[in-house]
Amino acid sequence: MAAGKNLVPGSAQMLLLRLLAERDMYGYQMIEELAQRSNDTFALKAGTLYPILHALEADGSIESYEQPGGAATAGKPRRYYRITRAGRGALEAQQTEWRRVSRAINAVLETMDARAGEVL
Amino acid sequence: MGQTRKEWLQTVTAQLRCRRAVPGVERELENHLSEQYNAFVAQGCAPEEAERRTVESMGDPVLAGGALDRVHRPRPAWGPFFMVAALLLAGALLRFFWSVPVSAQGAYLWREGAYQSLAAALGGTAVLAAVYFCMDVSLLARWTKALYIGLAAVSAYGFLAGYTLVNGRHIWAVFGMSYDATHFSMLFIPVYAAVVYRQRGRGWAGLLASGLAIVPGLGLCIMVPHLAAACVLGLAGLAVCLVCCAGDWYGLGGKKSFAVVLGVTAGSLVVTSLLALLLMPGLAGSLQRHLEVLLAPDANAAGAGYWTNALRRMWDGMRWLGPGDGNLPMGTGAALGTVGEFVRKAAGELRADYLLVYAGWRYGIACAAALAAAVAGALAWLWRTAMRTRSGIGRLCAVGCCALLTVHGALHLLSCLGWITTKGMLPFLDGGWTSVMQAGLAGLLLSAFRLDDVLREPQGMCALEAPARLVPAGRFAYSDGTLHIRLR
Repeated sequence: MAAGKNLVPGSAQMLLLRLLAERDMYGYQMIEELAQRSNDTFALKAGTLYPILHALEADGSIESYEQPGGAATAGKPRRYYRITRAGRGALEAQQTEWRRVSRAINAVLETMDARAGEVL
Repeated sequence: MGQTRKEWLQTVTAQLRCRRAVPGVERELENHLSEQYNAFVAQGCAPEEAERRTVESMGDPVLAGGALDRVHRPRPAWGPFFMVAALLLAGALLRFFWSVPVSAQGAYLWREGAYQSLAAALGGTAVLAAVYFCMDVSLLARWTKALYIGLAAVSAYGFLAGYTLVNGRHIWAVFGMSYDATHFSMLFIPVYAAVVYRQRGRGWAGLLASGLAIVPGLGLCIMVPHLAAACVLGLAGLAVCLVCCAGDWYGLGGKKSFAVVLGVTAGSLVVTSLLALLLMPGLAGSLQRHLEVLLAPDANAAGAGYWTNALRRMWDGMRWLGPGDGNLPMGTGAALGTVGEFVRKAAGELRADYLLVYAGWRYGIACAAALAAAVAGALAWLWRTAMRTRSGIGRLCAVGCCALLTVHGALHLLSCLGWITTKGMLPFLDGGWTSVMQAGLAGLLLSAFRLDDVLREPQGMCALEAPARLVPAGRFAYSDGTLHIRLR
């Protein structure tokens, strides 16, 4: 099941930086990889992906280069993205923040579940 | 039927207000669309179905275009822009105030000089603005070969067809206008940056081509002859090459290519110097005289050391604030006169070629220091802008232009201090064609920064690997001298 629209934007940047921290990728590849790793939970649209990538590039978190795309792009060059040192720093900060928030959310959910169990 | 891929793309690009951003964005999205479409076709979808699903998978084109429009806007660089314009104006105003007439004849000269200075400042500002707003640095990368050949052809034409020698310099008559060939050599740097940009990912061949591409420019400067211009061009070219090495653009490893470029440059300097000393018998003597002048200018103050001695005496007579001491003798011989007499006699040349010394003499060392600090501040601001430019071609051009202007400034400072015997061109304050050319280079680097988010030129190395060859169908196949055996 795809994630709700409001859940994705905040975390999409972090997820894309995380993918690029492993290896350089091009846009289509990122969408496929993200969908595959999340069991289609994060089915990012290209119209959402590219503005995020271009904004990350503008703030220096990632940079791009071109490589021939071969038969899949009819010989046209593909634009690959790679994470920069600043991007790795940003990813680290975002991951830390994400873990802190998710721990807090889980704590709240577990407390609520426990109370609901007590009532039942 | 819903939107086609083409219509989707047109809707996205229609949202981009900066039209220069369209080709870069369009190219990337077009590739994505065709890749997605091919994937659906490979999964067994009919063409119409694949088209529909592709467009659906792309999302809302209006929202996507709006988001892209917010990213791809020109980044203004008004700070350094106005700093350069202010320096151009300051140069013209200084000459305006310095040219106060003392006689009717002087009044005529004053007016002519003032008009020329103002024309240079206005022309420089116009060129700065025109290049800043209208120049698209990616055009250099697109038209590199034509520009390089054109520049070389005009240089050759200048030498072969119509030059006159004025004070040992080549003055060309290009398109009906008189032009100093050393100024023309400044145009080599942006074109050279584009040549180097096109060598990325080409390994040793690219490195060699980058080295050879600077040779015609250096040759031009040496034939002019203007050794300082050759140094300026060589150092600016070296800066461009080193930026490529630092980013490992040649694909040979950053440190390795860095060491090779520095080693080859040092080796070339040694070999060229030795060859020059062997082939030009008078050169060794000339160098020795230059060295003697620099070490002890007062030993030959009436001859070869005249200017160096005079400049140093002027500094000796300067005060922190206020005019310098004109009664100071120029040397031990009475025939040499005083520094004040020298300044009155050589005021025109001092204003033109030794601006910092003349400013220091008229208003005090503090004034010269303030002018030098203003130029250094402008250069530091331009360097900061250049290093913040991300696109490959943009950064190379920007670094090349900055390096060239910095070497100009350094040479001017050294010549004013009497530490070198050649003249330097103080960035933006020099007046005349030099300032116009320098303003153009500053405009180019600011334009590269301004359009950084718009043009989407690749930033990193583009490894130009050969695309994967298609293997012919069948268990056994032979193509391009290779036998293909399909095992499963």
